[in-house]
Order: sequence, then C-alpha cells, then structure tokens
Amino acid sequence: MALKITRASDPITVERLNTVIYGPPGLGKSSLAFTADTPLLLDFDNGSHRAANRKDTVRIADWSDVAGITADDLAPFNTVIVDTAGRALDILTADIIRANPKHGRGGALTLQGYGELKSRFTSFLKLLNSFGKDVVLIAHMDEQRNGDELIERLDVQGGSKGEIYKAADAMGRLVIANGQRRLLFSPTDAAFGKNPGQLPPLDVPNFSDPAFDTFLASVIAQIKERLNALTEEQREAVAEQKWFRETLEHVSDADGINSLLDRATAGGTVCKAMLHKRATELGLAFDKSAGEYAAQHQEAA
Amino acid sequence: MLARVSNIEAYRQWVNWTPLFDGQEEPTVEDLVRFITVDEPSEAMKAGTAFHAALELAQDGEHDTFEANGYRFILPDAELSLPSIREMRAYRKYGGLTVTGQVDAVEGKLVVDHKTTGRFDPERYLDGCQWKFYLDLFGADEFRWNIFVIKEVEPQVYRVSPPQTLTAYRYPGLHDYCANLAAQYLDFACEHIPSRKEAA
Repeated sequence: MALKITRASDPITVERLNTVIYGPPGLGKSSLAFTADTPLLLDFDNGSHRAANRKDTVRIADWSDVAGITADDLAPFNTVIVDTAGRALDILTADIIRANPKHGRGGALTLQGYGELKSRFTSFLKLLNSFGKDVVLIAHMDEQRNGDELIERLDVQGGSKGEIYKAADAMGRLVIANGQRRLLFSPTDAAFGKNPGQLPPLDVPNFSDPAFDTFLASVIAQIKERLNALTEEQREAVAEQKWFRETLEHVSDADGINSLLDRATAGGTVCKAMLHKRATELGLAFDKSAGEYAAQHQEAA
Repeated sequence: MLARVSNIEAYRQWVNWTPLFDGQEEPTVEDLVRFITVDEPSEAMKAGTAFHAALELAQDGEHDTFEANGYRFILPDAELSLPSIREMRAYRKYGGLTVTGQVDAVEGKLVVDHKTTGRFDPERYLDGCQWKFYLDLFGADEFRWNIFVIKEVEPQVYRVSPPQTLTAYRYPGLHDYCANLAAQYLDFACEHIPSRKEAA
C-alpha cells in the first residue's frame, strides 16, 4: 500500500457540472430540472407526470433500468437528471438486499450494506460523469428545528449524502416566499449551498413565462462561465506565486525585499505572506512608518 | 485583539449548540473560555497534529507510512495532489478583531486543508465558519478539504483511509458573514476573556 503524492496540476477548463437542487416537496423541482439543456430525466420518484413541462423521461422501477446505461443511450441529451437522489438510493437499497439478503435486516441495510450502497452510488455518479453530460441531482429538503431556527438539509440516507456533497460542483435550494419561487446557491447559517458562479438569489420565472423554458440551462451556463473565468484567474495567481517562490530564493537583503513590495501587494495575500516570510528569515521587520522592511533592532539586554 | 479562526469556530458551535443525544449536557461559557484559553489537545488532536506534520514535509513520490511526533500512520493506496506552498498563515482585521488562520497548502486562489477524523461527516465541515474565514483571509475562491478517516490499530499507530475531497466556494456575502461573526466573537471575548490581548 502506498500514498502517491504528486504536485498540483494545472487547473482544467470546466465543460460539465454536477448540480444539486434541493427543496421542499411540491415546489416544482422536477419542472425546474426540465429547463436544463436537452434533458433526460431518470424518474426514480415516479413524479415526473406532475411536472408542468415534462420532456424525455425514463421511469425507473428497478436499479437494473439504469445499471446498464450507456453513452449511446444518452447521446441525444446534454443533461441527465436524477429525480430524486434519495429515491434512487432507496431503489438501489432494494437491489442490494435482493442480491445479498445478508446486507439487509427488516428492509433496512446493515453496516456492510450501507458500505455497498455508498460504493455503488458513487460508481453510478462516476458513470454518469464519464459520459460528459451535465448531471442534475434533485433532492428533497429535510427541515430540522434548532430553537427558533429551521435547519435545511438534503433528505438523503446515510453515507451516500456525503457522496452527493462531494460530487456537487454547485448546490442550490429552491424556496418560495410571498408566492415567488427563488433558487439560492449561497449557503446560510441554516442551509447548505455551493455558489461557484457567485450568483445572486435568482427569481424563478413563472411556468408560463418563456424565460422559464431555459432557466436552469442558463444558470448552469453562467456557473460554467464563471468557473472558467476563475480557472484563468487561478492560472495567473499560480504563475505569480511561482515567480515569487523562485525569485525570493535569490533575495538576500532589505533592498531586494523592498523592491518587490509593490508587486507582492498587487499579487495578493499569499505573495505578501511569502515576501514577509523571506524577510523574516533575513532578519528584517516591516517598519510601518517608513513603509518598508529594515533590519530588526536588537533590544538591549 | 487577535483571534484564531479555530476559536471563532468553537464560539460558533457553542452558540449553535444542539444535543447529539438526549440528556447531553450543554457546554457553559466557562467550558468555551477554557477551550479557547487552555491548550489541552485530545489524543485525536495529537494524532491529527502528527499527521499534518508528516504531510507538510512529505516529498513527491510513494509513501507506505508516515512517522511524526511518535506516531506512525499506515497509508492507503491512493493518490494525493499537493500544492508546493505549504503551511501558510494569514491575518485580516475585522473592526477591532484581527483574525488569523493557518492553512495546510495554497495554490493560486485555492486553499487546501487536511483533516483527520474518525468518521467522514461533510456537513460538519460545510456547516463550519473556518472555510469561509480562510477564503476571506487568503483572498481565495475555492476551499478544498482532504479528509482522512484514521483508525487507531495500536497505541499511536493509525491506519489511514484514502483521502476524500470536499470543496466549497466563495460566494457573495462571504466577507459580510465573516465580519458579522468576528464582531459577535469580539463582543463575547471582551466580556468573557477581558484579561487577554490574544484569544489564541
């Protein structure tokens, strides 16, 4: 057994996303999911018929309906929707117990069974990812009360919830206030979220509004655009930090450190910290009044 | 006043405390003050510190075990990509409070933190304020946890599971969240830790 440690590699361009949408029942999560780009909805929840704008759907009654899914099956689609992740896990649970009754007790999974559930669900997500499609995981919301506050969580069983948090590039919750549905990606004290797109709270258009037809497609496109902009900023930041790391090795006095001050300030916190660390190694301290580094004065004994 | 991010997280957990089981005793103000002001690492924390120490110095290549601080870690078959800038500390002022935190690694606008734990519980990490402060302190956009589940197989010897990666991102309002929590912590510290200049 060995842990292989490698250097961090170049950031890569984001071409596909895993997006988690969660919210209370009845708010139109499936309808929202159907506004993704050319979607195929895997209907584990048997509720797609309620969607106002139903598109291509496969009803899943048994895990074998999806276990053998292939790239050819998904070729006409750009987005795969798992509706809901919680119900998909229930169906997978039944499959695990059917295949190995020792992994279940009274309809529930044993510890080993949970291990298999997590492992097979992770493999399923990886399989979907391998097709290069955007994946939207729909989940119900679990509300827990803490004093006066309602804590909102994904309603997904066991350790598989962890796999969803890990797999999620973006995570938003669908809420309703004063009759207006909103999609919120930023986390709060009471709710999880992942907002790499830096999106403000989004008003979800009414079902009859033409803007609704492509709403989620547009949201996912915005997130990808922002992530790819971040990738570019990341490349620049990495290059600047590398420059400082290599340059500072050869700096040996206060003049050398001070000549890099402006560039380090422009380079951000990490570059400033690297400069400060090198200055400290050289026995220098920052003189606030002079605005530069100078030799540290030895205190009298 | 100076405060570590970890102490602000301890304060946040204390404010939002909920019992894990019926009858669990609620921590008192004194408990929190003691946590903040007295260095009493548990066995799990000591093991975590040792693992971090080993990982900080780890060179590229394959490692069967890590050894540090008298602990030995049996490593899994896995691959771990690590930035070259390791163990970096940053400071930022929030009103009258200067907050400081040290992360395990930084690469561009990505901050990396290693965690050792007995059980993988992503909600605990996502729920916390540490990642938010670290992004704010370092001006970074992405936070990545490498979470290692470790299990003691004999005294001071741990078997390490493959790292599980969890990410979080900067979002609008992140700085305001940090500033607000820092202000609450400062009020608390001024009232309950008045003799300390450094709540570290």
